[in-house]
Amino acid sequence: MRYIAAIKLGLKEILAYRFEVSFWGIIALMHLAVWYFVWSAVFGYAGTTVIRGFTFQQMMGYYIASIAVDHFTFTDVDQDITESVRTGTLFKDIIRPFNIFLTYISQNVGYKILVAITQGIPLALIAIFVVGIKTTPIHFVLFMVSLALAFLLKFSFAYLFGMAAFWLTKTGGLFRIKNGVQKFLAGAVMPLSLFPAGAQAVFAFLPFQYMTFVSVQILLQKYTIAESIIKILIQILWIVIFYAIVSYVWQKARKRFEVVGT
Amino acid sequence: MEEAIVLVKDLRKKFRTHKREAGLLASIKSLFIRKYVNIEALKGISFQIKKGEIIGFIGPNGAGKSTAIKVLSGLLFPDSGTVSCLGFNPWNERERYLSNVGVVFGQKTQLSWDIPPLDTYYFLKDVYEIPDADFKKRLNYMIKILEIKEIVKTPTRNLSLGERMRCELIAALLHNPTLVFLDEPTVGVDIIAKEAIREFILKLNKEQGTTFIITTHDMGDIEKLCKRIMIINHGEIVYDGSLQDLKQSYVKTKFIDIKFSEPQEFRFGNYDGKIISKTKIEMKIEVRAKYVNKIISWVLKNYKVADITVMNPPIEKIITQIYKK
Ligand SMILES: Nc1ncnc2c1ncn2[C@@H]1O[C@H](COP(=O)(O)OP(=O)(O)OP(=O)(O)O)[C@@H](O)[C@H]1O
Ligand SMILES: [Mg+2]
Repeated sequence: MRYIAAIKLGLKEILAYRFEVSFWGIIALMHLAVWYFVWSAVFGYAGTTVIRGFTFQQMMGYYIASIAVDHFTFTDVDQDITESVRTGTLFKDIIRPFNIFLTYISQNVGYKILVAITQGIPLALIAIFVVGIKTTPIHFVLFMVSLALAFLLKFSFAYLFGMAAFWLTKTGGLFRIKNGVQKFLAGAVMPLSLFPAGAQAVFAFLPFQYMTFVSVQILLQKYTIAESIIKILIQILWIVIFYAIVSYVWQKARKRFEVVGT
Repeated sequence: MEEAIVLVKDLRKKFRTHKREAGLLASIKSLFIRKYVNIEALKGISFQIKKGEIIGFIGPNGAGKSTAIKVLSGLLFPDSGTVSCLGFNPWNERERYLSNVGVVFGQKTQLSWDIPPLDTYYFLKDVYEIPDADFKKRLNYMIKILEIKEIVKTPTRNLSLGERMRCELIAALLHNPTLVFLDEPTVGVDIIAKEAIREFILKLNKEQGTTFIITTHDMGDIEKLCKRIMIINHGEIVYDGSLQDLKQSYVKTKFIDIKFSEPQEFRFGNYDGKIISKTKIEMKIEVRAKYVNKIISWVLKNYKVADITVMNPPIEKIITQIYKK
């Protein structure tokens, strides 16, 4: 199967960087440490044990889960596309008999296998034994589904941005803005439930919270099973929407390959 | 053997680019005013190719050779004209068409950069759904004739140009394509590797009936590989035929090498000719092809000759004449 092959290729490619990848695990732990100190200070300063319904322990539970989700759904396919457009090596994907979008997803899934080992395992161990996150088997299964969907959603969004390289000469700044805004609105910086109700109502209509926040909430049992399933369906809806836009833009981008990439 | 597998009719392709002068002022100006220029890379070319042919696309820089290959392999969309390759339209039936096509762009790599070519090959095995046995057989065979047993295990980024090129060929040919496009496959390759690549192309062509379309600036490639050549100049096909015919119709002069058995002072008698090089004992002259025989007998009669050879001008010279038109 050609897409399984792409997964294997992705894994082989990322293994060429195994040294760098092992650092990602350390970076994830450093993120967690930073948030530990920030919130210790906030709780200490406020002198309360509960802030907006979060105990300190629950807050750490949120961060460890959101860091795990954020790292696991990470993709730099936007930069990959920019680079292969810029260097013209995109030609190799165009002359091969496969769907390029699906191939890139599969390759990214290959990367995830290594990420799951280097970051997933340490984070999971800390989550269970240090922070003491508890969940039910059914919530865990729903979480895994929504995690996979969060990845697909983030990927489609990044892919869409990556195609900007067909029109713009420099995309670095654009991607940085995208990543910052996305991280914030996805709830990877702060739990979205800390925001005022009005803001949360707006977030509900944006795709971002389905990239991190929703998956975390499912894991932490903030939603009932029925609510979780509805959130998952909305994730799927967003993926379908983005995939449709990606396909449409790709048709246009493809014709611009001669301008930028040959 | 006789059916045409590539049919191209009146193919046109224009590129729109903007030009600007160098310098800061000019860059600022170009933000507001852009002068667009149309480059007509292909001005309505037509040709047909039969199964099992090896076609040489030749022409000066910027003639449109790569553009033609890019259109045929589905990378670029033409402005007008029709293309049918292997019975497919390269753009609308992309996946089915590409399963039967192999492409090498010598200037760019299709191997994954950070991993050894061998890993790309295993990937391609699944992409093209090549059966295990075929894959092993072909891979071993290709590795053997191209002599790159160890090279394919080295990460692509560490390969030299010539090493990489041999690896690129395998990537393009593993799935045993019916139609293969090679854009400058011997660029930057040493003589031994060039020989290996040429042998390899000829073998595949003979054994599998693979059709090749090759662009090159190396006349050695052309003489060794291509029975039929197409000369493209300024986006038009200016010659389409056999190399043999080209020589015959364009060769107006021949070279004669003469070795004298003792030092002589040579003079053209009533004949026209040009002395290319000359020592007391040896000389090279260029004469009109028509008079070769007469000149030789005249030389033999009037001088003491040890050896005499007649040669065609090198193919490069013929081609240059055509390019300059
Ligand atoms: N993507 C592009 N955008 C604008 N102009 C282009 C593009 N590709 C090719 N051209 C122009 O079209 C013409 C034909 O280019 P092409 O690459 O087909 O030449 P070629 O025959 O392959 O030359 P070479 O021997 O140098 O490889 C050239 O004038 C070139 O500058
Ligand atoms: Mg070229």
